[in-house]
Amino acid sequence: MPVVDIDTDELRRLTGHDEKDDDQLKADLFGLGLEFEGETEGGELQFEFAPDRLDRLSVEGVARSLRYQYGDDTGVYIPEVNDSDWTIQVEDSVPEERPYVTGAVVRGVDLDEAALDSLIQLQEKLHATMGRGRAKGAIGIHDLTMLKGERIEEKALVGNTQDEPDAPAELTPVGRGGANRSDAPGGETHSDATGPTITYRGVDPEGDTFVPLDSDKELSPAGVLAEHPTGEKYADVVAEYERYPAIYDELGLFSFPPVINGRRTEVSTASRELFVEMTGTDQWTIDRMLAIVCYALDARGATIEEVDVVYDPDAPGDRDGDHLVRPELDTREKTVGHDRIETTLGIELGMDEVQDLFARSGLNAMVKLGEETPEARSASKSDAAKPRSKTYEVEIPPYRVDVLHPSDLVDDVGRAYGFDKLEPKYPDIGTIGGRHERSRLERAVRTALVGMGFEDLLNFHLSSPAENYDRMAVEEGTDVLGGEEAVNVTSAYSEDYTMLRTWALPSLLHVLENNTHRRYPQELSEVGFTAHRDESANTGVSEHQTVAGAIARTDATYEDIKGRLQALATEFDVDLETPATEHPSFIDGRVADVVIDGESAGVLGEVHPRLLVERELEVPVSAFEFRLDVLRD
Amino acid sequence: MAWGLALERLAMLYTGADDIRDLHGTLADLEFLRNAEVIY
Repeated sequence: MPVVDIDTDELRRLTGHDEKDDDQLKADLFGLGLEFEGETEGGELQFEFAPDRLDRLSVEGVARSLRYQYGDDTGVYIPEVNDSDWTIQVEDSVPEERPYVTGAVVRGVDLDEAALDSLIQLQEKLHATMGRGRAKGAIGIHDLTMLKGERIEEKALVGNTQDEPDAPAELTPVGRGGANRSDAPGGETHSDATGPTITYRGVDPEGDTFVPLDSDKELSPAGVLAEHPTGEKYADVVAEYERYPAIYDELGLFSFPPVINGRRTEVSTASRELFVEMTGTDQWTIDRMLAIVCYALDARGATIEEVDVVYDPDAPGDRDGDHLVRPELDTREKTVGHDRIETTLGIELGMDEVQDLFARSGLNAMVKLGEETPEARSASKSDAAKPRSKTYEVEIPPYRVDVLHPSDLVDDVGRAYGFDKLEPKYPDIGTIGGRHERSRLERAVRTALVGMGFEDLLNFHLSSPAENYDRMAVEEGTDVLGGEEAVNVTSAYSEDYTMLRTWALPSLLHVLENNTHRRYPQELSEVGFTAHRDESANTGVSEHQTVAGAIARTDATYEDIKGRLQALATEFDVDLETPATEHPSFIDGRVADVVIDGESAGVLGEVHPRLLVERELEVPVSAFEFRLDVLRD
Repeated sequence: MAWGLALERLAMLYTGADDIRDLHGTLADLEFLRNAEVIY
């Protein structure tokens, strides 16, 4: 679990509560879900942070939450954002693996040592969480005064356009896009640009050079990856890239995201104006990361300024030709019912109380009008006025990336109320636990199989293509039992366990193979789990319980296994038919479909000698397998 | 992240099996399964 280092002096200063000692702060933070973990060597307190609240990855965000909790702030706060001056031009050459960029200009920052440490920590923690180790999103923060984005003649143009009334925003991209199309790559002559521009583009690994942070050497991007410690660390992120992401200003290359920034734009405690850029594989993710950084800097008294992000019409990704104004600090709305809040938390609340608790979570809740149910309306007036039938429309600020569902809003109300204040109580009704119908069926089938002389097995659900397909003479993607497409494990631990098994017979044969030195007859069965890919399923994966049985003895035949299957069908009062079929794991002419109550559900037959020889089995094997659910009532 | 009730581990304690694979998976030894004393 990620840990955030908090300088409690900073926290006292940012919350405005000098009177709180460390123990009180610990207790208050515990109430928010931030648990004290220990102390750093420098005397900062470490808190394990709830991984959903990415806005609390730095002292600024934690202070904001506390101010809400203390009642110093209430409701949604949106930082003031000044008009745009800077533009990020996205060229068509940007690597298609990393097509998206976002950014903001921050002015009037007062970075003392603590504030700079906090900013660096926030950046690192966001990289580790939302940014998925910089692969999905990476943050670059630069000293704006070191960037040169405009030329003299353009400065004059800026002066002119500022006096004109604002052009409708929708017209701007057309003009810019059009100009860009006709321009040479690199935007050398963007005559209608209204402000300084930096460009995001792709460069060849050896295509240009710059001096990276913590280095004195001019290095190419490839050189950074080979020679610079940070470059070596993040080389994997860009390993598959043909061209490397690069950000340019008028003076040239100054950043190689997601790996390292240039030394020229390094941020120090002397920096007063910042340029924040983020690149990534998903616009939403980097925009949310940017919102969190902007909120943190705003809390330090900085002013946020918009940046125009202009995508080339031929830029890769699905933002081609778009003109975005960033940072995006729009709020969202979600609806939650009063009833839901009360039943989830188990307490009764007045509507004013709920609205107050929302406000103390930094959210705005409006009671939604005209939402009474017909029952409430037809009931007496006093009934209709009851809060149970009401819903709240809740406004959510942009840093709250964790709010996905009305339950998350109920959670906030509960925290603001104080989970420690909730009284434990027994549920109103008591029931006795019992087995699910699914388990009862499984158990009944197992018992029946054991009664027929099978030994019950419990095999692994994970298998490998070699076991599941190749050694069964079945091909993946064919229309036979076991031939369904595999659900594969990403980064499998062992090559023996790379996929979920599509059927259970391979497992049974494997047990027979491992027990050739044991007494015969060996009659094995299993009721177990199988899965395969299925486009029509919600998750893309279809899961089944399967019933498999195998008889290995000197005289095992089709009739033996059919007899067992018939007995099972009779016990479960289903109708069994066995029309002839073909299956690569079985001997032709000694194999049949398992059709139960008219539904084709599996296969039975004599296992092909090729499979037996491969497993060094010296006795014939006959076997069946079919879907468990056909035995259900 | 992985979690579970790990019933097999309790079963190991209960049956005295010293390797989880004696009870679970394709390496199971039929002789062990056949000779394990019934617990009731």
